[in-house]
Amino acid sequence: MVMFWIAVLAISILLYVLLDGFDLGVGMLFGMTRDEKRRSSMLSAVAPVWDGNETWLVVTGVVLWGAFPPVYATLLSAFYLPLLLMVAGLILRGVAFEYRARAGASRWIWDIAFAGGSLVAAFMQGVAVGALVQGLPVATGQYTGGEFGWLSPFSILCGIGLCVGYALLGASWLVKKCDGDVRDAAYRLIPYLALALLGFLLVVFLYALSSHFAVMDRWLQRPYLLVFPLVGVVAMAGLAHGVVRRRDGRPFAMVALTFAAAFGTLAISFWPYMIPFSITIDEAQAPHSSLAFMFWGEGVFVFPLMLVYAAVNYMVFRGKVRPSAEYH
Amino acid sequence: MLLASYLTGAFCVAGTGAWYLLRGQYHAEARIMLRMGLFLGAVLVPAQLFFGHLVGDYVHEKQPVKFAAIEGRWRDEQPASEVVIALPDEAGQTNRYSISIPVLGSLIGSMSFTSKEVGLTDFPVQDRPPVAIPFFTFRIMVGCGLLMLFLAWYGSYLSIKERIAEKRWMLWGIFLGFPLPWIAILTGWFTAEVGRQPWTVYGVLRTADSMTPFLTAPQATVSLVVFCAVYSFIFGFGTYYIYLLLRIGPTGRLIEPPAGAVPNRPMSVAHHRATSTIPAGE
Repeated sequence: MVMFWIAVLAISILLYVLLDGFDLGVGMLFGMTRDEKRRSSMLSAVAPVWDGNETWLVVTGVVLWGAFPPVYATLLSAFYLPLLLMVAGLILRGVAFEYRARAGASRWIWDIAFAGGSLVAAFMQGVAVGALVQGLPVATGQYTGGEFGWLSPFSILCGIGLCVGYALLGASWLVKKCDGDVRDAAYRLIPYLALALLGFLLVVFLYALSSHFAVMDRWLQRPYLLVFPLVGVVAMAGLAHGVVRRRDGRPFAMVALTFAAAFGTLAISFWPYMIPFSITIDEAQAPHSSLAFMFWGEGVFVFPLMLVYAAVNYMVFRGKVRPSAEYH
Repeated sequence: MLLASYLTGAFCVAGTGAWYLLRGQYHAEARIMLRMGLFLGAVLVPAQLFFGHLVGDYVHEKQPVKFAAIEGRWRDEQPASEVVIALPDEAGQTNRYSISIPVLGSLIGSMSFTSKEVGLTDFPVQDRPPVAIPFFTFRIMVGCGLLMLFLAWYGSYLSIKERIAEKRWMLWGIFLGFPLPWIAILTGWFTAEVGRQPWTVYGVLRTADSMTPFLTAPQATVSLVVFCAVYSFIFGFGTYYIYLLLRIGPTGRLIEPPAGAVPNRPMSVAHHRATSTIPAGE
C-alpha cells in the first residue's frame, strides 16, 4: 500500500515539474519580450492547460498530507516563507491570465504579475529542492533549522538553476506550440538556456563535491545511478539535433526527458529517505487504515480520472495555436 | 453553505437589476433580473433560516458552551429567556443593557416552554469561548437573514404587482442589500469558529496544543500580511473589473458564441461580447 502512494507521489511531482515547469517558463520568457503579438501567442500557448498543470501541485500536497504527514509537517515548517512566496506568486500569475485582458491602462501591472509571479514561484521551488539536497536539520522528527534554515548559497544557486531549467522547458514548449516569430525567437534562445543549464549543473556538482554533501556518498555507493545522468546527456544531444534540424516537437520531449532523468537521480539517491537523511518512507507513512481509506477514493477513482482528463485536455488543444485566436 | 452561495448569487443579480432601474437603464432586462433574483431569494432565505435552525439544534446538543455563548446566557435558567441584544461583560459574567424576552430562550433551544437551558458558568473558565464575538456575529448574521427575508418577500410581492420600479426606496434597499448574504456568511463563520474555541477539534485537541511547534509569531504575521495584501490587491482589481462589466450592461445580442472563447476562462466570453457588439439603445 505504501508503495502505491510513493508511486502516486512520484508521478504527481514529476508531472507537476514537467507541466507547470513549462508554463512557469513561458511566464518568465513572457517578461523578456515587449511585443504584444508575441506576448499574446505565448499566453495562448499555455492558457488552456496552465491551471490543469497546477493541480498536480495540489495532488502532491494532498498525498503528502494524507499518506506521509511527518514529511508534510516538516516540509511546510522548513519552507514556510519560500512556500508562502511561491503561493503568492502562483496566485498573482493565475489571476493575471484573466485580468490582463480586462485591464486598459493598468495592463502593465498584470504583465509584471505574470512574469514576476512565474519567476518567484520557480525560484522558490528550486531553493526548496536545493535545501533538501543539502540536508535539513531535523531532530526527533521535527524541523529545527529556524526561519531561514533553507537559505544558503547552494539553495539560491539551485533556485536560479531551476529558473533556467523551466525557461528552457518553456522555450521548447513555445517551439512546439507556436509559429513564426515566437517559435524563431524560442529556437534562438534554446542553445543559450541549455548551455546555461549545463553550466549550472556542473557548478552544483562541484559545489556538492567540495562541500561533502551526504548525497555525494550515495552516488559513489550506487554507481548504477550514473544511468540517469547518461540519459540526460543523450537527451541533450537529442535536443541539439532537434534544434539544428528545426524539428518542432523534438526539443520539448528531450528537455522533458532531461528533467525526468534529473528527478530520477534525486529520487533514487534519496531512497529510502523522504527527507534526506532524516525521515525514511517507513517512518513517514500514515497508519495503514488511512492509506487504505484514501486508496479507495483518491487512489482508485480520482487519481486515474485526473490522469485521463489531463490527457484529454492536451488532446483537445493539441497542435499549434492559431495565430488569430483571441486568447487575450 | 451551498444555499448561502445561491443566495449570494440571487442578491447580486437582484442588486444589479435594482441598480439599472435606479439609473434608468435597461428596463426590460433589469425587471427580469430583479424578479429572478428576488423569487429565488424568497424561496432560499426561509430555507436557509430553517437549516440554520437545524444547525442550532445540533450545536445545542453537541456544543452547549458555544450555544450558551451565542445566547449570551451566563447562568442556568428555567424557563430561559432570550437575550435579544446586550453588551456581554466577561469579567463580571453578566450582560449589561440587556433586552430580553422571557421563555423564548427555552422555545428556541428545546422547543419547549419549560425546559432548563444551561449557562456559561456551568463550564470552567478555561473551557469557555470568548463571548462577545460569537454573541454579536450571530446577531449580525440573523439580522442580515431577516433583512433579506423582508427584501425578498416584499420585493417579490412588488415585482408580481409590477410596482417595484415605482418604489425607489425599495430599489435602493435591494441595490445596497447585495452584500447581505456575504456578510451573513462571514459573521456565521466567525460565530462557528470563535464559538468553538478553545478547541480545534471539539473536546479533543485544544487550539493552544495544535500549534505547529516550529511556527514563530513573526512568521505567522508575515504570512497573514502577505495573504491580506495579495488578496486585497487581486480582489480589489477583480471587483473593479466586474463593476466595468456591469456598467457596460446587457448590450447587443446575448446568444452569440464568440470565436475567441477559452473554455477555462468564462470571463473571456463577457469580454468578447463587451468589446465587439454594438451598444444597443434602451
